[in-house]
Amino acid sequence: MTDPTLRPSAEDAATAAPVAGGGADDGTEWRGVERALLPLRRFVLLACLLPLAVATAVATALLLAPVWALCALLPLAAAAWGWGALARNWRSWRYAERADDLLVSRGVLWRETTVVPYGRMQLVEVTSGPLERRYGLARLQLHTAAATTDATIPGLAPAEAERLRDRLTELGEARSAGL
Amino acid sequence: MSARDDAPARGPRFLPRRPEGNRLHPVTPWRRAWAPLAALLAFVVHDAEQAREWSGQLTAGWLVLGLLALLAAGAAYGFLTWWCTSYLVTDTELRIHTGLLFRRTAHIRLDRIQAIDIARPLLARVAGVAKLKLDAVGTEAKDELAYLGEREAVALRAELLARAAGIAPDAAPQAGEAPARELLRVPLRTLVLSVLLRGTAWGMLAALLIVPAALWLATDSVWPALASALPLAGGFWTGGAGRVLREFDWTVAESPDGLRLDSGLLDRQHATVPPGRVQAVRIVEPLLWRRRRWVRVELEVAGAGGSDDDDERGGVLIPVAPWQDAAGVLARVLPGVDLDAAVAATRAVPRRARWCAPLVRRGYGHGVTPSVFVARHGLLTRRTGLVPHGKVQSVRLAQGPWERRHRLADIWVDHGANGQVCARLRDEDEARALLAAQAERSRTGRRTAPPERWLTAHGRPTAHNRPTAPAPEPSGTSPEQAGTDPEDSRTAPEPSGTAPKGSGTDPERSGTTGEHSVTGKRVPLHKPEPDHPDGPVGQDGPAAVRGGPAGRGGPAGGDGSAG
Repeated sequence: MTDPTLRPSAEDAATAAPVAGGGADDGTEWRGVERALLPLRRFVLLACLLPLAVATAVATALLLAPVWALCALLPLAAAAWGWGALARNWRSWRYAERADDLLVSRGVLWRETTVVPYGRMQLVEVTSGPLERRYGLARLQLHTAAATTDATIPGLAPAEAERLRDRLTELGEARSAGL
Repeated sequence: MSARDDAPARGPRFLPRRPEGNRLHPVTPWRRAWAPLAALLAFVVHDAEQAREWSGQLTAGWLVLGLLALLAAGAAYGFLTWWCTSYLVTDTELRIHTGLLFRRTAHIRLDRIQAIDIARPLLARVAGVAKLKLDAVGTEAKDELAYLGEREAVALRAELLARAAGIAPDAAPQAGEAPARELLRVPLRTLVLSVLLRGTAWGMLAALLIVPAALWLATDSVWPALASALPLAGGFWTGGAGRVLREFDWTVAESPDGLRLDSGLLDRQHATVPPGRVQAVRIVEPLLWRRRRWVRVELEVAGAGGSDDDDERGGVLIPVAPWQDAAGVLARVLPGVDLDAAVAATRAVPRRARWCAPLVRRGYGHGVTPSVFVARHGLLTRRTGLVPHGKVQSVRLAQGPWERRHRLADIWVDHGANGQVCARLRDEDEARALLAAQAERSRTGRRTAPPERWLTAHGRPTAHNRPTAPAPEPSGTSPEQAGTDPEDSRTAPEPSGTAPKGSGTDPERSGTTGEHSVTGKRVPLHKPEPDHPDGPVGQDGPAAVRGGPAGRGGPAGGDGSAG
C-alpha cells in the first residue's frame, strides 16, 4: 500500500477538500468525496453482517452444538476487515475536473481511472436515495453513448453534486460531439 | 412512396381508427394468421397426453371446424394489426404507428439512423415483399416495417437515406437510389474454403459424431443421443453450410449513401450503413487463414446491432477476403485508416507479462496510429480491434493487485456501439501516458469527422432549404437523442481547410467528404470558451458536426452557419 493517496489520514482529508498532488499527473486538482460516505458505508456493512452473525450463531448453536456458534466469528471478522477496507476505499475515491475532461479514480486493490471528455457526455444524473439523503449525500453519474462507460461519483454533498452537474452540462453543451 | 398522399384515415365504423400514413403490403396479415395454429401446435407438443385425450372425444368435423375458427380468428387479428400499422415519412422523421390495443408510435429521427437493412426471406421473396429494418441509437430492437412491396421498400430506403443525407426535402422522394460502385465481391470458392478452414464447423462436426455415439453407447437408448445431436447439428449448420448460404455472393459496394452490403442465397439481405456510422472495426484472423493472408472484417455500428447471429455482435463487413482487398475496403469505410500501418504500429506486451498471462500474452498487442486505437488479442484466432479516435467515448485505466506488482495495467476504450476494446497488460507508465494521450486524441479526432448529414458537405443545394428551425421533437425511440438538433450538421466545414489541427491525422481523406463547402463559414480551431452562451455549434465545429445525441446548438448555430 504505497499509494500516495492513502497517506492523508481520514481526519485531515476534510470534506470535499482538494487533495493536492494525489495523482501521477501534475497540475491536476483532485477532490475527494464527502467524509459522510464512510459512516454510510460502514452502517450498510454492519447492517448486513451483524444480523448475519447473530443468525449464524443462533442457528448453529441450536441445530448443531454450542461450539459451532463460533462460526459467527466469520461474519464478524469480515465486518472488522470491511471496517478498515471501507476507509481505504473511501480515501481512494477522487475526481478531477480538467479543462477538457473529467477524471474519476477509485479502488485500492483494483484501481480504475476513467477519463470522460466533456463533449462525450450524454446525460448527467444526480441521484440520492433515502439513506444517502439521511447522510446528506448525493451520487453523480455520467452517461456517454457507450453504456460500458462507468463513471460514477458517490458521496458528494448535494450542493457540490448540483454544481458539478450544472458545470458538466454546460461544458458538455459547449463541446458537444456525438457518436 | 412518400406519405403525403394519405390513405383515408377512416374505414368502416366497426373498425378502429386507422392511424395516418402509408399501409404495409396487404400480404402482411397472412404471416400473423398462423399464430393461433402455431400456439395450438405448441400446446399439443407441450402437453401431448392431454391433447390425445381431448382429440379422442372429437370427431373429424369438429376438428376441422375448430381449426377453421382458429384460422379465422388469426386472420382477423392479422388484419386488425395490419389495419392499425402505418408509417409516415416527414421531413425529419419516420413515424411508425403500431398496436391494436396498446398503441405505439415511434418517431425515428432520420439523421440518427445508423443503418437501414432490407431483408428478403425466402417466403417473402416468393411473395414479392421485403422487410425494412432501421437501426437507431438507443433502441434495443430494430424498428422494422414488415412487409413492404419490394419496389416500395427500395424506394423508401432511398428516400430515407436521401433525407437523412440532407437532400432538399422536395427533391428527396425523387432522389432515387444512389449509384453504387462495387468494391469487393467474395467468390464462392473462397467462401467455401474459408469455412472449411475454420475450426468451428469441424469442431461441431466432431462433437456431432462423438457425443451422440458416446451417449448411445452409455445409455443404450436412442433418445438422449438424438436430443444431444439436434443442437449440435444446429451449431454445425450455422457454422458450416448455413454460413455459406448466408454469406453467399457477399458484395460490398460504395455509394454516396454509404456502404452497401448484399448477401445471401435463399434469404437476401441488403444493408446500408451511412458514412460515419461505423464505430469500430474488428479484424479476425483464424489460425488456418493466416498463411493465405485472409481476414474477416466485422463492423460495430451504434444501435441494435446487425446480424441475428449470437456469435458476432454487430455486423459483418467482409466474411473473407485477402488482406490487401480488405485493407482497400477498410480505407473507404474509415477514411484515413491504413490497415497495414495500424498493424505495424502494434507492439507486443512486455516480457514480464508472462507472470500475468503466461501463454495468452503472446496474442496481446496494442498500438496507436494518427487515426485509430488498435488492440489485438487471441492466440489461435487473432482479433484486432480498431477504434477511430473520434469514436472513443471514454478511456479507462484498470489495474489489479497482481498487475500492479508487475507494473502492468490495462487500458479500456469504450466506443459508441456499446462495445469496448482493451489493450491488456501494458507497461504501467506507458498506460498512464496512454490514458492522457488517448483522451486528448479522442477529443481532437472528432474534429476531422465528416458531417452527420453526409451530403451537406458535397455542395448539393441542400443547406439552404432545410426547414428553418425544426424544433427538437421528443423522439419516441430513444431517450439519448433528445435535445439534439439536426441543424448541427449544417456547420459542416470542409475537412481539410478548416481543421489543420486534424488534417494531420487524416491524410487520405480526399473526395469522399466533399471538396465544396456549403456553409462558407470557417470554424474556429481553437478550443471553445466553455462559457460562451450562444453558438456552441460554431465553436465546436466539426466535432459538433457529428451531431450525436449530445449535440446541441439549436437554431442559433444553424442560422449562423447558413448565413
